[in-house]
Amino acid sequence: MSTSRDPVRLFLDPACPDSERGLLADGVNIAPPRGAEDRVWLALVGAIGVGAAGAAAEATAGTVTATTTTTTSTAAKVEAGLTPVKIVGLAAVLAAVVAVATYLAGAWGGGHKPTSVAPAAPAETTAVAPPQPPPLPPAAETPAVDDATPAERARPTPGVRRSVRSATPAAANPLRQEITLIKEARQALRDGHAAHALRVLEECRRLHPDGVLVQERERLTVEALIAGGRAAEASARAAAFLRRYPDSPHAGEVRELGRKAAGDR
Amino acid sequence: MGKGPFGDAEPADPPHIYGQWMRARVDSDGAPAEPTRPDAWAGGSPMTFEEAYRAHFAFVWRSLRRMGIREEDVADVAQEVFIVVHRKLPEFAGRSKLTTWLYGVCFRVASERRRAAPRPPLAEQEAAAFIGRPADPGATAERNQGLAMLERVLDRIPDEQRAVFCLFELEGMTGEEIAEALQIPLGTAYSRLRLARVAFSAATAELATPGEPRAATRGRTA
Repeated sequence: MSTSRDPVRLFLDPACPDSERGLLADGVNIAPPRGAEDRVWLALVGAIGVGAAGAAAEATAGTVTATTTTTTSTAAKVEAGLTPVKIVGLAAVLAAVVAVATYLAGAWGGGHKPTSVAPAAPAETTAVAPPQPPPLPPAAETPAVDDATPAERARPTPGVRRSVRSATPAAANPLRQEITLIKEARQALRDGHAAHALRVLEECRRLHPDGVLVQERERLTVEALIAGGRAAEASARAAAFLRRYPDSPHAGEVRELGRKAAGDR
Repeated sequence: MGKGPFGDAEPADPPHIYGQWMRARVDSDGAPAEPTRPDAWAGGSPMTFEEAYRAHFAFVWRSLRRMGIREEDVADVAQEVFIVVHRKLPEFAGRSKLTTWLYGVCFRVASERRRAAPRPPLAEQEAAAFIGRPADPGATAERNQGLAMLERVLDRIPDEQRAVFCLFELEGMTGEEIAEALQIPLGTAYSRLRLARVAFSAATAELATPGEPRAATRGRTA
């Protein structure tokens, strides 16, 4: 590698005045605050459902495995169809989603510009490093929400889901809105509300036909169709996904879901 | 690791803060030295998404901050960056150095972000508070002040020049790496660096030392 034409770095130049060198040192030393890496990772797990092997997700997996087994229909459905590995993976993802949602409702809410519907968000804060995440609640179940009509969905509901949405200035940023919808669908699926999940995913499809999270959306759609007992559609959808995105990071899971759907038929 | 991050011309053990920082940064990224990273990829086992995340989260964070993403927004923007990375990592396949590729993703996401929600300029009084104020007792407060000042200075540099400046002066990349990260010819990278240095000096002279205005240019940019 030839670097011979590179000039000397400003910081190393004896002619560089102290005022400039001081600023350069500040810029050089920029680092994320403690805990930011794990917090963003949890948010990622919630948004795209990446492998639940993250340290933070692992830390919560035990707690939530216990929660899942005591939480009625979701756990029952999961056990009915998926392999044990899947159950653990799913539990960890669910744990992460709860943690992220809780965290968003609390800590990050302060960083966002407040929106008109932000009952759970704290008052606007000054620009400081994000605080440490709150301890993860062992069983942060949202109040049971029946499969909601669109009108009901528009109604502000106390709980995790609303907090996530209200903390997100969706209109200002399409990707943020897409992320919010995907998270809501995942949450609905987790709560056993497959029909609601499908509605949210349809809304997402309508608003973001070529969104960044198309693959996550399709994968969740397959899961929701299975959960809703529509195995034939799920199977067709999984096959279409694999034709379209053979190299997707989700291909393995979708293939697995397709097999399961075919078995259900 | 016998070679400094700037190539052979770099002393093995630079006796100044910059060198100390460079070593600390490399340590904190969990890799022994910059040049080994692409080799690790080219060796046949691509990084998983999580490995890439863990190895380069700090890089993405500081890159976004230097692009003008505010502290309170940077976690969100970093999340967006890694969503894109998750999607595109299979396509990347080690064609270039991972950090240069990541930087391109950061640059695009940050530009989009600025388009969607242009950053408001710091209020004048807020800015004035940073100038000529005695240093706070707390080192953190002092550094935050310095950062705010730096942001104001960098905000005066056009985005494309600013990117070259930050990669060269703050990240320690070589000209060739910068050209690759920004997909520009090497000569363009150098000329942007020259322009950015002039703007940086002028803005620093004006903002950071209001009492003693100086000539903006010095011989060293030649």
